[in-house]
Amino acid sequence: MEAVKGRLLTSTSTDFLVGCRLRELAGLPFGALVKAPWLTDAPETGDLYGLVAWVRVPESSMARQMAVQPAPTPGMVQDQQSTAEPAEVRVLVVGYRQGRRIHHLLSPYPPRPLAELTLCAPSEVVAFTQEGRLGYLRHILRATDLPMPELLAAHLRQAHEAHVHHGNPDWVHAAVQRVIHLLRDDPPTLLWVLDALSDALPEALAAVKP
Amino acid sequence: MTQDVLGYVLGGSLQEGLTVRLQVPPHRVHEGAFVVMDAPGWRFFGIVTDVALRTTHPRYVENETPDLAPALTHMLRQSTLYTTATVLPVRMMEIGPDPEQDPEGYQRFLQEVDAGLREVRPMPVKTVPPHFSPVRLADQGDVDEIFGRPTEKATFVIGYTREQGHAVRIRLREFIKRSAGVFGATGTGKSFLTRLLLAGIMHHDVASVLVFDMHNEYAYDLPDPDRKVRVDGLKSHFHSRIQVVGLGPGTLIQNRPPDYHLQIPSSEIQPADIELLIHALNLSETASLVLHALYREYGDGWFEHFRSLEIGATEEVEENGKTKTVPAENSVEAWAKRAGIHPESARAIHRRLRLLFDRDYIAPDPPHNTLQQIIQDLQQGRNVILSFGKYEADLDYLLVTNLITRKVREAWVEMTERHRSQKDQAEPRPLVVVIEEAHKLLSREMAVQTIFGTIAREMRKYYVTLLIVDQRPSQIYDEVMSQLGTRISGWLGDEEDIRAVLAGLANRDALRNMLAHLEPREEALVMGWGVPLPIVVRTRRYDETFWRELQGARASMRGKPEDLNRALFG
Repeated sequence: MEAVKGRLLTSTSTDFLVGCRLRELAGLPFGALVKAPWLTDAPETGDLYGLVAWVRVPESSMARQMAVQPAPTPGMVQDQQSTAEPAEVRVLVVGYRQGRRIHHLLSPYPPRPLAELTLCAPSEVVAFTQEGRLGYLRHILRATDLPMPELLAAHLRQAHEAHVHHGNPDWVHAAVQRVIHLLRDDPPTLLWVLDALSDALPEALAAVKP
Repeated sequence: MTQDVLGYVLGGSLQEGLTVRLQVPPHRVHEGAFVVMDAPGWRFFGIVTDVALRTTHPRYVENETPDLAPALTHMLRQSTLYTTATVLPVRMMEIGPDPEQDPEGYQRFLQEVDAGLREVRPMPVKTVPPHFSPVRLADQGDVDEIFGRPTEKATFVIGYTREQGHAVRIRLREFIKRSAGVFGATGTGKSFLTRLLLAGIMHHDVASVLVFDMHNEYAYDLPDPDRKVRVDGLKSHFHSRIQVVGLGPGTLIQNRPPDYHLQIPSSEIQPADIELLIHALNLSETASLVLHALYREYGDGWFEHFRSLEIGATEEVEENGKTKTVPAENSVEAWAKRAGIHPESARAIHRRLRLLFDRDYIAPDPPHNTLQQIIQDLQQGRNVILSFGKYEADLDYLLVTNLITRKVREAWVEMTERHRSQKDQAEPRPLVVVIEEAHKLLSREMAVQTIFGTIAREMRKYYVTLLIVDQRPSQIYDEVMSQLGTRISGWLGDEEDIRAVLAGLANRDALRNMLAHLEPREEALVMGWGVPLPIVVRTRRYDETFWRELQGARASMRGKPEDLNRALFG
C-alpha cells in the first residue's frame, strides 16, 4: 500500500494542486513522479501522472514569532511542523494510465475530488518513463511558468537513478537526445537546460563516450 | 536498397542542383562523386558538386555556449550540426514499379519493355526526384548502365570512380565521332592518358590513328623518370598495325630505325603552308605577295625553283658595245624584276626560307612517295606514328603536321564523296589525328589558317576527327574548344585554362570546382558529348597490368615464343 502524501485541492488540464502536511514534503522531492486517481464513470481505473513542480509552505503567526527567537527549541519546531495548515504542492501533469496502458498525453479526465496523491515507486518511474518515445518530456519543456531547466534536471536525475537500479544506465542518454531534439530550434532555452543537466547528471554524462 | 544510404533529398531544382542531407560523415562523400537517387518508378543519376556544413541555428557554432559536459556537447552537435551535399541531376531512367511492393506491375513493366513499348535507357534529366528520396553512391552496375557495360563492343576502361573504385568505361565509337581533347598541366599524365586512349582505339580497331609525335614518345619503349621504370611504346604491342615513320632520311627514333622515312616532295608545299610559318620564320607582311607570285609563275614547282635561285648572282652582258653587270637569270633579283616584286622583299623571303631549303625531309623528287604511303596505311586500317626525330622545332611541326593533315583530309573528303555518290563505295574508315602541343596549331590566329580548325568544326562530316593534347587550353581558339566533344582534363592550375576547358559545356560552375580540386596526378575529369555525365576518375595506370587486361594472354606472352607455341598448339 503506497503512502498517501496529500489530497487534491484544485486542478486544471495541465496541473493540479495538492494539500499536504508539512512533514510529508520530505517524501515529495522536487521533480519526483507522483500520481493521483482520476474521476470517471468508466469501468477502467486510471491515474494521472505528474511531477512535483512547485511547493508552497504556508505562513503562520506563530512561525513569525518563532523566527525572531534567538534559538527555537526542538519542541517548538516540531509543534510548528505538525500544524494543521497544509502545504501546497503543484503537480505538472505529464501523462496518465488507463487500465494497464500508459500514455504521455494530457489526461482525458481530471483527478477525483480529494484524490490521494502518492509517490511513484522506482519500478513505476521506470515503467512510465520508458514508454513510447519519451513524449512526456514535451509537457515539461513547455512549462514556461516554472523553473523548467531545474525541474527537468531534477526529474532526469531521479529517473536515471531508477533506471540504473533496474539495469538500464543508458536511458538517460536517449532522454537527453530527445530533449535536444525538441528544443533545438530554441537555442537559448536548450543551452540553459543543458547547463542544468551538466550539473544534475555529472556521473551519468561522464560515462557517455563521445 | 542494399547499398548504404548517404542521405536524403531535401529540396532543390534542376538548375541549382538538389540539396541532400547527409547521414554519413562528410569525408564519405567527395565532390564529383557519382550518386544515384531512387524514386518510385524512376532512377536518377547525378554528381556531387558541393559539400557544405550546416547548423539548425547559428548560435550552436558560435563561442557563446556554456561549458557543457563533453558528452552533452557531443550530443548537441549530433543533433544540431549536419552536412549537406549538392547533387546535380544529369540522367534519369525508368525502372518500373518496385518488384517487392507491386510484383504484378513490375512484371507488366518488364513485358512492355520486352515488347518495345517502353524504352529503358538513361536519358537527359527532365525532372527531379521527390522529397526524401534516398541517395547512395553508384555501384558498378550503375556505372556500367551509364558509361557502358563490359559486354558492349568497343568500350574501354579509362579509370575508376574515386570513392569505390568502380571501372568507368568510355564508348570509343562515340568518342571518335567528334574531336576530343586531353588537357592537364605539365606532369599530370596527359601523355600516358593519351597512350591509354590510343591503345584502346587501336585495340578495338574503331578508327585509324595518325599521331604527330613531336617528342618521339609514343612509338617505342622509353624510360619514365618519375616512376623509374621502362614504359612500353605502342609499337611494342601493336607491331605491324602501327607504322612508325621518321621525319627525314636516316632518322632514328629512340635509337631505333622507323618502319620508313618520310620525305615530302617539294611540289606538295603550297604558299599557304609557308604563310602558317609567318612567325616561325619571322616573315614580313609582304611575304604572301612574293609567295603567290612564285606560285603563279611556277605552279607546284615554285618551292624548288625558288630554292634554285641565288641571291645576288650576276652576269655580264654586252649592251650598246659596253659590258654591263646585271642580275643573272638564276638570281632572286632577276625573278623579282620579272614578277614585279621588290627585290629586297624577294631576297628577304629567300633568306628566311633557307631554313626550309636545308631541311632534308623536303626533296624535289624523293625515291619513295612516303607521303602517299602514310595515306594508304591509314586507309588500309593501319595506324601511323610520325616521329619528328631531331626536328623538334615549331617550324617543322607546324609545316609537316598541317601539310600531311591537309593531304590526308583531301583523301578522306574524296572517299566520302565517292561513298555518298556511289552505292558500292564503302564508308570511309574513321580517322583520328592526334596533335600534341595543340595550341601551336589551334591558337586564335592559326586555327583559321590551318586545316585543324576546319576539321574541328566539321566534326565527323568527313570521318576525320582530332584528338588534341595540350597543357595550355586557354591558348586554343575558343571556337575550336567549344566544338570538342569529349574532354578529359587532369589538374589545371590556371583559371584561364580551366575556363577554356569548360567552354561550351553546361553547368560550368560546378565543373570548374571539380576541375580545380583534382589531384595533381592520376585523376581526371571526363566530360562532354562523349560521356553521358561528367565524372572524376582515378585514371588507369599505363603499365604491365593495363596491357595484360587490354590484350589478355597475348600481352603476357610478348617476347616468349615458347609460351606462344604452348598456347597455340598445347
